[in-house]
Amino acid sequence: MARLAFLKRIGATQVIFLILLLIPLSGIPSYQFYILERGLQNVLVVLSLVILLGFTGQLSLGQAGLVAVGAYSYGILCVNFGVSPWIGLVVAPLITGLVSLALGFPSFKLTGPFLVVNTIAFSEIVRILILNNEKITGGPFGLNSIPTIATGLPLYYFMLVIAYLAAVGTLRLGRSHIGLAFKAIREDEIAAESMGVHVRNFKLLAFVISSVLAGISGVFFANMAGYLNPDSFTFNESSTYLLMVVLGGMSNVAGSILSSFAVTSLPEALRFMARSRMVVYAIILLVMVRYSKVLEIENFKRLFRRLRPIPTAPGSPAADHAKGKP
Amino acid sequence: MSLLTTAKLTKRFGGIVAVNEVDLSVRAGQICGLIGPNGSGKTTLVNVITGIYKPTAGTVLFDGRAIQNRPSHEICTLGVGRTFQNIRLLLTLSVFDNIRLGAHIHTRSNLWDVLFQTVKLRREEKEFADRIDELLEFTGLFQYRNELAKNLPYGRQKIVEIARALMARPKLLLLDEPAAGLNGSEKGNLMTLLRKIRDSGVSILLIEHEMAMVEALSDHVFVLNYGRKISQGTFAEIKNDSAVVEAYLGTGGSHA
Repeated sequence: MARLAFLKRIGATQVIFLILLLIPLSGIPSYQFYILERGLQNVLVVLSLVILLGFTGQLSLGQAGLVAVGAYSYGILCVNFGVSPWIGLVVAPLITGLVSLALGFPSFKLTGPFLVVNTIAFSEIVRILILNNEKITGGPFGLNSIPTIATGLPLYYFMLVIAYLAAVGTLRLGRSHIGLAFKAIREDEIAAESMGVHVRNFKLLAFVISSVLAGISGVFFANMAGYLNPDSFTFNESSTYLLMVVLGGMSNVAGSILSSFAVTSLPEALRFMARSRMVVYAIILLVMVRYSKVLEIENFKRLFRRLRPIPTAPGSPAADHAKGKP
Repeated sequence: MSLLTTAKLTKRFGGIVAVNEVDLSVRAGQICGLIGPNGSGKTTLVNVITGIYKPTAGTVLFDGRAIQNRPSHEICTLGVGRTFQNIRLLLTLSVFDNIRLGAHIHTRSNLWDVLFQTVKLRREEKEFADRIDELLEFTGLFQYRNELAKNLPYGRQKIVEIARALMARPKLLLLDEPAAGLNGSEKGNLMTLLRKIRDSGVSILLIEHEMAMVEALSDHVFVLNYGRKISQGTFAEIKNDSAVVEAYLGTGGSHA
């Protein structure tokens, strides 16, 4: 049992980040390195959805819009106003947070499908605004030569540190009384309200935290590419983020990180298939969603437990547990 | 001294008057019963008192303050705890976490404390954990501490709801049919628990169909029928009130 306690303290998240720390040191080719960077950038959006959807149970199909706000805030600040990238790095996520506050305040009067439609509409409005304000955003031609905080390996490790802090923060939030209030809203809003949770304020808090993370992801996107185009922030991206968090087990931080790398790299890994690539990609995703719990760490643990069954009397609680009952 | 007083409290849903000019008064340190046939407006009354519904007319005074137009979460903060007729637990969370939610209104640490795991946060969490363990002992739930709420038997889930409400340190506890669906021994344990809660200084407004329980526990009983209060007094008094007998058994003869 002492060995298990040790594992618990290290945590799956720490193991994943240790691996991410070591991978580039093996000197992988630049294309694979780029995919790794994209995965890391997506981790932040997926963590933002872990908080919003996994903890609080509020579905957003407009995360790409928030990523766009973060990316373009950074780009516009640095290109049009000549702000230092380091200041842009801090200010852009804050702008995203403020935008989400303005969006969330009226939106959280809505529930269910209305809220989802609202987030989709927001994301589209952002994209169309970017497309049509050519003088500021570059419009369809994109925003060029954005200064970056770093490139190559230093940028990767900087992103890795931020992503790790975000992951630890998300884990701490999930365990805390704030996370508990979020989960209470997810489980039963009336119960939460009756126990003194100011439901609307806590939904807003979850949304703002989530948007700041999406904003940071946007800043990373701008840094990786040095170029921004509204086509990178479509509904397609939003639904991919949603797919990542669902595959990762919604409120499971380590699982979501794994799934964000898996979903990012899958279409690239299938490139050798040329024209049938997207068909195969879709089929694999369908199968993954069907068995959506595969990436959950708990299931890995349960799998190992099943491989080495604990000798217990049938019918005892421990035996039920080993059989995989919840 | 009266802890909770409602005056001419009315709730209309369209043409239906679910609660009609109800006056009640629960005194500190009492267990008050609230009885009435199905559909007589008992649950609606509790929902109006706890702010889930806004009253159409009338006032609710709690601890000297008018609370009738305050939101639910504020009413909880003032010291009104409740349980639900259809259990509303956080089913995918542990019993421990369910009760921890009761401490929500007493938390002082903020997002900063959470992200940096400050001493303040740890001290607060330790304090709450000790109190939760105390409550688990008090309610006899300790063996279920780390079990998920959904895995508990129905009777135990009802007790978890009571423990969760107690965690908020309420002055008044509104219990909506806590004995419904419990077996004989569970009912006995529940009665012992409710007496212990009363003796610890928490007043109780008890909605219940289980008459033996209302009789054994209540200092005072209110009877509702079709949204109106038709009688009140000690159990012995209301038991012999013809209006109450009529509400439960019908007028006898006139329809026959």
